[in-house]
Amino acid sequence: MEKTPHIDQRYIQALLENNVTVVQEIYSRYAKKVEGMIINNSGSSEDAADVFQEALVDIYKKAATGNFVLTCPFEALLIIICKNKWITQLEKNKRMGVTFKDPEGYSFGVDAFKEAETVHKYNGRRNLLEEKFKELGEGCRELLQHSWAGKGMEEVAQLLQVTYGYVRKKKSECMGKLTELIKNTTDYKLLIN
Amino acid sequence: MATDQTTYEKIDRYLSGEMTEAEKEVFTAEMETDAELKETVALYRSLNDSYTEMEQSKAGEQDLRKTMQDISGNYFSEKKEAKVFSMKRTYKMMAVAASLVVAFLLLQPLLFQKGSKNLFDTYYEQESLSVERGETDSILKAVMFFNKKEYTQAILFLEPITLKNKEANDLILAKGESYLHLNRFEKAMESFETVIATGSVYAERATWLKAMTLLKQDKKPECRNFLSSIKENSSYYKKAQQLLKELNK
Repeated sequence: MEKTPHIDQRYIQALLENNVTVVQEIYSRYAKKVEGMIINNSGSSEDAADVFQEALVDIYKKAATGNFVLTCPFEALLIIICKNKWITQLEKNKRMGVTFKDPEGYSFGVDAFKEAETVHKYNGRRNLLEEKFKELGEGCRELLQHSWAGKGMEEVAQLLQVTYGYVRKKKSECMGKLTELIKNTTDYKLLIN
Repeated sequence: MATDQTTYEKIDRYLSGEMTEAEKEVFTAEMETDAELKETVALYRSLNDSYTEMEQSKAGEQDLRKTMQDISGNYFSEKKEAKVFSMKRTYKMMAVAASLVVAFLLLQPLLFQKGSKNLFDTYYEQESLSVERGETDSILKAVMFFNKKEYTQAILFLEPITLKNKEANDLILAKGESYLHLNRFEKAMESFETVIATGSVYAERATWLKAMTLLKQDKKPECRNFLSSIKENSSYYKKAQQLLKELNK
């Protein structure tokens, strides 16, 4: 069934289009709330600014896939992602026995948690793909990036000053290496769309 | 089991539609009997799609990060040192805009019936560029020459930099301004248009600089038209209105 987007879908659109006015609106509406939540959980305003920005980037990345329909309030999604990011951070810093104090007056619907989970999963997968990509040699990385950026193989050949035939062969070789790297990760099937 | 290179070449040709009908038939039949091959083809295709998607969202991510770094300090009380660069520039822009407005109010009586050249000199003001720590050598040099008003030298460095960093809006503006000083108006316009199209925080200044370029060329009607399109929420709105009055005299 086709999902009907929440009215806050416009915030997602603003992130995609880098609409300065609406991004400012996101900050003016929600920054203080996130700041309060982080400070209340042994963080600083600076930590809050980072968490806030990274949460928005995560949402942007998921949205950039072109199939992210928001079905909950943007605020709920943002707060949950910020909260999860901050908990991860706290655990990393080994401040053990962290009990997170939720901001007062918040109760989120199941939808919001589901959507936060979608964003989280997508970014986890994406990070893993980026890690694997870094294991390739520089030549392969450069060639593949040009190709993924939408350049035709002939253009790539020109840029790298090699022949078209070489680029074609090299691309399949690099993609082969990358595919093998991924095959060797556990649960690689989760990586298939 | 690992798939060999010859097979990967075949997979690539199959997926990019370069196989002949006969080859395709053989390959499809092979996939039907070889489950591992079929899976590898699916993985190859899916990876290529995912990485393409990721690569093509990078420019947007950088633009968004820049925007957020510029505005974050207005909403969170502490600023990070690394963010000082863009904040400084925004504050500077605001300060320059504000001080110019004050100056115009004071100088208003002196500004009657000025030619385009004089108007340009009055209204155009170059902003110094500052740099983040850890910038490359060529960026440092470009900024140094630009700030020293050695525009030809600045362009020599800015051209290759902006070719590589298509998101460096501040540097693209500096390139445009350098061309403007050298009266190479077409090149100047090109840079400003590029930045305007991004809709980023730098677009306001780019719009203003486009008006300045028209003014310097004595293209008064075009300049007037363009100035009247600068909206009230732009930090250059007051300057634009002021200049419009001058041009209408």
